[in-house]
Amino acid sequence: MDPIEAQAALDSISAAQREFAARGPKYPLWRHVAFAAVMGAIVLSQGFGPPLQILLFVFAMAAVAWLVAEDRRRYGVFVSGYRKGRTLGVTLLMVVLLLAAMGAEIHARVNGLSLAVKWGIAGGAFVVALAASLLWTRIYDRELQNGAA
Amino acid sequence: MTMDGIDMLLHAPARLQIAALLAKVTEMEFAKLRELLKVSDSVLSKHLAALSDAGYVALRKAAEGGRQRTWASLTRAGTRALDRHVAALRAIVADLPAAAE
Repeated sequence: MDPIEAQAALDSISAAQREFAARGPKYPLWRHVAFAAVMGAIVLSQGFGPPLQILLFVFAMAAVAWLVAEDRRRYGVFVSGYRKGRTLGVTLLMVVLLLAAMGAEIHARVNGLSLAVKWGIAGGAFVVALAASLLWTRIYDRELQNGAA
Repeated sequence: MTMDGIDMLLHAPARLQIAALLAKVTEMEFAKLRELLKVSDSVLSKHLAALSDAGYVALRKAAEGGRQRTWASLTRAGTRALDRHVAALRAIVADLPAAAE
């Protein structure tokens, strides 16, 4: 294989990935908000004892399953948030912050803190998850646009 | 089969593009791959079968909305093969001896 042929092969990879960037998933704002709301619900569930804790958690898990199924149906692709690449740092940072928020919710429950505190922590988790979702998508799109194999 | 890091299975442009697309997702549906590559069902099926036979691609059938759909994903072996192939291509482009793999 000569250098021109090799460059053409690399260009074909970039072209395919740019085509995917152009015609692949275009997640609307409601999708990011829905994801963040689910993450907020998971965090909030830790602020209550059963049965509310279990109900909230089961609802959130069902919502996650629905979002994944909807993505598959609508876009014909599924991209795990835990994929390797430049997006992984965003995912891991979000997980750490959400785990910290869950810990804060448990602290609030154990110490009998007010409902406002629990909603405040969940609201913070919502904002973190929304920002992470928007940033993750932006980095992923840029990665596809750059066409790096 | 490889030659100086060049994987002959990925040498075919369509198969290289399939692998490169699957490298960016967890799973992609057959119809989406066909749309992106602008090839016929039969051509895509042949390429996917070749990649699947080599262990580079995993195929999964699932019933959705009353229809049978095929989902493709790149395996670990496929990911490694693509990485090696791309590294070899870059080495050739850089006019360096292809990395001995």
